[in-house]
Amino acid sequence: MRKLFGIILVMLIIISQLFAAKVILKVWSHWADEENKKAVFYEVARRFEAKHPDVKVEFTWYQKTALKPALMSAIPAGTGPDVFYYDPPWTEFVTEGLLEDLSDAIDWNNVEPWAKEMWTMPDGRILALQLEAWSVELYYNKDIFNQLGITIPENYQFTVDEFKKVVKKCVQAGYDAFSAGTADRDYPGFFVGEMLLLHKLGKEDMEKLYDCQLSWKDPRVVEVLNYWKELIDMGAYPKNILGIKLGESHRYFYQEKKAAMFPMGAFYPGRAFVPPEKGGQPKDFKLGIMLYPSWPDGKGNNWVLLSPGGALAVSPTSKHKKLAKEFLAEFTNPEIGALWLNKTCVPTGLKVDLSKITEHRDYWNMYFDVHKNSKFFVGLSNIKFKGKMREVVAQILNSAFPAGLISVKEAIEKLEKARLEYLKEQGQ
Amino acid sequence: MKNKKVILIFLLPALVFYILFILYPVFRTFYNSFFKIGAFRIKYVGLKNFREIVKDEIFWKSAKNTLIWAGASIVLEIGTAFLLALALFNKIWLHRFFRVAWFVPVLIPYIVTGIIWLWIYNYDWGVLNTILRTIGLRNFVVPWLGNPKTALPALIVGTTWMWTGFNMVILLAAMHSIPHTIFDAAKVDGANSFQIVTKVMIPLLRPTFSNLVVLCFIGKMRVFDMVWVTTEGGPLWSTETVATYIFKRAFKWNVYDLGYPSALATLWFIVIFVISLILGRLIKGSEIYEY
Repeated sequence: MRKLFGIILVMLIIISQLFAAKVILKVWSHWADEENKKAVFYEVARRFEAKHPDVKVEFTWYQKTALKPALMSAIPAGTGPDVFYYDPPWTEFVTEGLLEDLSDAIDWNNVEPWAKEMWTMPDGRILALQLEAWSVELYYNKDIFNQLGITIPENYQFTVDEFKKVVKKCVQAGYDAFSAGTADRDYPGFFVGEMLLLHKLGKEDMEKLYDCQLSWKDPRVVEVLNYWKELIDMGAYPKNILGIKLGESHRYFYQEKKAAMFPMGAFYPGRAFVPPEKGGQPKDFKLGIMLYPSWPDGKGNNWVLLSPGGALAVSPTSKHKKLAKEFLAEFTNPEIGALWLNKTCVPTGLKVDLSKITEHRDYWNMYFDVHKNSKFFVGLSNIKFKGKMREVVAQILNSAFPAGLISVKEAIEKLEKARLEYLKEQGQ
Repeated sequence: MKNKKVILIFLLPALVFYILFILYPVFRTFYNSFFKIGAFRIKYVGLKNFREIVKDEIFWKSAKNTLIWAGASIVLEIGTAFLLALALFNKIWLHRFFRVAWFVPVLIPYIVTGIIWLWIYNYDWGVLNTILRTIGLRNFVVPWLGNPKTALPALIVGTTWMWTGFNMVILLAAMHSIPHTIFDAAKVDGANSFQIVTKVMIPLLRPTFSNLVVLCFIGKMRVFDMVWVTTEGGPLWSTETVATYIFKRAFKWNVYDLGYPSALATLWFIVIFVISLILGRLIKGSEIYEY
C-alpha cells in the first residue's frame, strides 16, 4: 500500500513538473463577442502549438475600451501579455515604445505592401501585424435607387453636382440620403466629409490636413465643408444621428430601409452578412457599392481612405518575445488570410489565397470591380488626429456638423483654433 | 494591551485592503499630478499640469456641466424624494406598492439606466417623442440627447429618476424616527398640516437632509457611466463631465500622459472635498435636536 502511494506520489510530481514546464504564451485581445474572429485565432494557436508542444497559448478576451487601460498599466509594469491586440488609433503606443520590433520575425512577403509600409518606422523597425483593414465605402440600396430612377454611372462615381441631385431625390421621396449614427463611435459621421476632402485635396494635402499643416481656412477645405453643409441642410442625415449607434445605423439602412445610402467601413459585411434574425440584412436586400463623388478640380478623386482596424503586436516587456513573434508569424500564411476573409468578411492586411475564398463571392467581385482603379490611402480622422485636435474633430465633424447643429463658419473657427493650439503644443 | 492586539488583528485585513486599494491610489494620483508620465519615462513638471488646467476650455465646460448636474440633482432628487416620503408617511392608497416601486430604480445599474433613457429619448421610436406626436405636440419632438440645449437636462432627469427612491427611503426612515408625540403636541398647539410639515418636520429632518445633500452632491460630481453610455460627453461637450473628461484625456486622446489626468482628478477631489464640507456645515447648522 505504502509502495503504491509512493508510486502515485512520484507520478504526480512528474506530471505536475511536466505541466509546470509548459510555457504559457499570453495573448490579450479585443473581440470578446466575435466568435468568427476568435475562430481564426484558435486555428492559428492550434497550428502554433502543434509546432511548439511545450507552449500553451492562453487567450484573454476583452472589449476594446477595457483592453487599452489594462495594457497601458500592465505592459510598463511587466505583467502584461506577450502578444496583444493593438488598435492603430492608439498612436501613443508607438511613441512610448510599447511595440516590439517585428521586422526580422515575419515573412513580410505574405503581408500586403500597404500593411507593411504603414508599420515601418523611419529606422526600419516594423511594429505591428495588420489583421483588419477597411476602406470607407458608400453602400446603397439598389431597390430604392431603381424606385427613384437613379442610375449609377459606369465608373461608379457621380460628380459632386450629380450627387447633390441624388441626395435631393432621396430626401424628397421621404428617405434619409445617408444612414449614420455617432452615438458610440467617433468617426462614421465624418465619412462623407472626409472622403469629399480627400477627393478634393488629394493624398499629399490630406496628409497635411491630418498633420495640422494645412489650415481649415484653406479655400478648398471651405468649399468642401460648404458643399457638405448643403447636403446636411437638405436633410441628408437622420435627425437622430447623434443617438444612433453603429449597429443601429446598419439596421436603419438594410432592415428599416429608411436611408438610400450608407457611408460605412468595409467591415459592413461582418454585421450585414449574418442571418436576418441575428441582425443581418434580409435575404432579398439588393446591395450596391459606389464611389464617393468626384470634384471637377479634385486632386484625389480615385483615392479611397483605408482605415487599419485591429492589429497584433508583441510587448517589449514580454519574457517570451521570440515565441510571441513566432506566434504572429503563424498568421502570415495565405491560407490563414483566406480563413480570415471567409470567417469575418472583413478585408485584411494578410495576403489571401483567393482560391480558398468560399463565402460571399458576389460581394467580393462587386467590391473589387468598384475599386479596380482605386488607390488606397491609409488614414482616418480618429487615427491621424491627436490630443485636443482629435477631440474637436470628433465633436464637430463627427457629431455636431452632420447633425446640423453648427454652421460652416463656427466649425472652421473651432477647428482652426484647435489646430493652432496643437501646433503651439508641438512647438511649431 | 492584549485587547488592543486583538482589535488590531481583526482590523488588519480591512486596513491592508484600504491602504492598498484606496489610500495608495489616491496618494499616487496626487503624486502623479506633478509629473508628465509616459510608459517608460516620468518627468517632473511641478505645477505645470495645474497651470494648464486653468487654460483648459473643455475642463471648464465639463466642470460647469458637473456643477449644474450636482446642483440641480440636489433640488430635484431630494425635493421629489421628500414629497414622495411624505405621501408614504401619510399612508396614501397603495403605499406599500409605491414604496417598492419608487425604490426599484436605485437597484438598476447605471449602465442599464443609461440604456433605458437612451430608448426613452430615441428620436424615432422613443416613448417621449411617441407621446408628444400622439397628443399633437409634434413641434416639441426633438432628438433629446442630440441637442446641446436638451442633452444635459435630459440626463439629469435620468439620474433623478434613478436616485429619488434612495433619498425617499432615507427620509421616510427619518420621518418614522420622529416621536409622534411631537406632532400631537403641535396639533394641540393649533398647527395645521402644512405648518406641522414646515415648522416641525423639516427642521427635525435637517441632519438627514444635510447627509443626503452631501451624498447627492458627491455622487453627481463623479458621474460617469450615465454619460458614457448615452452621449460620451457630446454633442459639443454639452454633457461632458469632469469624470468623462479625465477618462478621455487619459485613454482616448492618443496622447500617453497620465500626469495631466491625475492633476485633473486631484483638483476635482479637492473641489468635491471642500464643497462637501461647506455644504455639510451650511445645512447642518448648530442646533442638535434630541428626542
